[in-house]
Amino acid sequence: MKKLIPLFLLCVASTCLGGTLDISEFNGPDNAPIYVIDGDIDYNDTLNGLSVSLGWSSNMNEATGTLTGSGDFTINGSVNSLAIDWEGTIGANMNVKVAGSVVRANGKMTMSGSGTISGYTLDRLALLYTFTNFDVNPATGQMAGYVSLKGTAKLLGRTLPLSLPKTYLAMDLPDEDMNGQWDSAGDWKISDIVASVDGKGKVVGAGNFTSLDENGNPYDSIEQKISGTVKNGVVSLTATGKLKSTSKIKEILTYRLSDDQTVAKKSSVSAYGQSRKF
Amino acid sequence: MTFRFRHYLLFAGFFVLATGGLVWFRQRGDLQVVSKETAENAPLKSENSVIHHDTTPEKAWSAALQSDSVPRPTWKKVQEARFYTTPRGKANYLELLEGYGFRGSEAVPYLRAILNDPDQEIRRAALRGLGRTETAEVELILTTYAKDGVAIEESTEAALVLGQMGSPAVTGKLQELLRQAQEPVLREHLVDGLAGRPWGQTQTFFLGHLRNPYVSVEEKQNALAMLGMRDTAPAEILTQALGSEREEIRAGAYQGLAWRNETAASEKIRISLLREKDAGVRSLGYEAWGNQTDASRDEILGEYRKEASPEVRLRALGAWARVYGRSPTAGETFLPEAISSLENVAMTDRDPGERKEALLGLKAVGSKESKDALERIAANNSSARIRNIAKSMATSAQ
Repeated sequence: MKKLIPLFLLCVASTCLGGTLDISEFNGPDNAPIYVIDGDIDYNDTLNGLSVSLGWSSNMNEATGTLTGSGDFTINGSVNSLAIDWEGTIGANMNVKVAGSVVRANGKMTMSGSGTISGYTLDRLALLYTFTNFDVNPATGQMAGYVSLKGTAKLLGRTLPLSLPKTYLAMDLPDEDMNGQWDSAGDWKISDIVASVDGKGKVVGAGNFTSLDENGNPYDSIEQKISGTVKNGVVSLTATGKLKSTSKIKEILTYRLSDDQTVAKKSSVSAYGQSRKF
Repeated sequence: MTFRFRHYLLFAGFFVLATGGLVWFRQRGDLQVVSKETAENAPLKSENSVIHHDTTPEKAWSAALQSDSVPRPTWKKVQEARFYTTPRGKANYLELLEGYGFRGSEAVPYLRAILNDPDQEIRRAALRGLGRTETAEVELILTTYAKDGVAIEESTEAALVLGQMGSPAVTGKLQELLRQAQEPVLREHLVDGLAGRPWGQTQTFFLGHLRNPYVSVEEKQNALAMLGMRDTAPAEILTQALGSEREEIRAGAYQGLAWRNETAASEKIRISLLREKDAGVRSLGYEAWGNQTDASRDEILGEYRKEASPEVRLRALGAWARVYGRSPTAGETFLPEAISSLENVAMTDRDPGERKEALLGLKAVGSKESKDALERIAANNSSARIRNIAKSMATSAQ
């Protein structure tokens, strides 16, 4: 569940110079979501006479935000006298970029397999789709952008090239018959914070950055080193990935000791190729 | 504001689209296709399917993949849609605004007026529609939007729309806008726009951009990754970048090579990996290696044996698994060890992301033994989420 109260800092108390910074956890606020596209779906549906079945999994790189996925599919049925029976594997490599409130997806998807079409044996059908600037709009339930297609079909021993030029496409986000656990609330937290403050107000410590699904289950947990200062009743902390490979996962927190509230627009989070200020 | 979005819908959506590689669904509510190339000349058609049955496989394929059709709405139709009362109605209005742009110069004054709408989504749809008009006038309009100081949602939209316009003159305009822009997110989108344009137009720019000492290494990394994704630049641009002294640039080259279609750069990646010290960069290297058409699983295995970092070993195993899965052979002696290692990570790693990565490796192997491992993980893993994913993978592997 998303936070229902505006108090973001937990267990903040008695921080003083030359002691322990008494924070155990910080929950990311609603206005700084970090979306993780990660999960698994088992999809079965009928589309215009075609029975479509898909098993699909993906994983998102916490440092770069790129996503890789793979799965299997079967498609069979008949559409306008065109009998189709096709099965094989799919793979995808995508990235998602956020600009303000807009989410856009780019990437590629491959489908390859064998089957029959209109009675002809497909020894192999391999398709490569390129998706360009898909604007994903959950408010309207649509996604729209450009797609192009390249591929080859091998029929009766002959190899036929396939292509489709860059083509505009708008489509509904499907919302039914979906069994799976993919979700993303954009939740994250810094937990297990252990930090000390020296006599000059310098903070050194460690913690964990964790991205969470809607049910509070973690997607990733990344060890962080924490540094910062305590000055004039304001704590400024910077948490970065402990390893070079995770160093782009970074949170900056600025909060007042008097009321445990963050100072507006003085904090930020960067992970999964996304950055948010709050 | 809480913005919740079930991301699986996005990828399910892409999959539904991919199934349309055989059949373009054209009924409203499923999927609509507008071919940019045919838009100007095609007559308005009924909503009947474009699929035709024929007697030769070549013609059947040609027909199955043909996309004609162009709902180029009239302004009257656009205006009617503007009084929407539901999210679906709004989606329809946004789509019509963009589609109206296919009418060319006649659409410009109308769409330009929409740029004053109070709703940003509508303004962005108008920007996209303006781009579809492919007029010189619109190029100038869009360049006033793709600048610092404009709302980032709109400035990036304008940058991407410019990137998709056909006129070669746009390439120079995007470069000029990039020279002026300071905002990193906008700069990234301007580079994205350029990366999708023909290499003949952008070659000089990108070669200079990648050498420019005043451009940040992060920006160069993004440029290389996007050039790989777009398949526009020759693969040599990416393999040459593996020789850079900056590891961020090499990381971008690995990302591009992991994305690029049909590259055979295994040897260059293998040699480049010898110099990589950082675990994250090495991991990217293995992801690129697994994507190469000439990847040898024996060579990957040889490097895997030398890896000390658990994170990197897992990516090396993943690369090996992908290569094995593409062309499995009986009697592969490493297979039991590969499956056992992946299963161990999936069962014990403290990071759920690493456990998931191991599951993907097992899935990529695609053997009976890997399916058995997935079933064991589905039954015994300490994480409910991992159990569910493994169960689904094992089921779909049947």
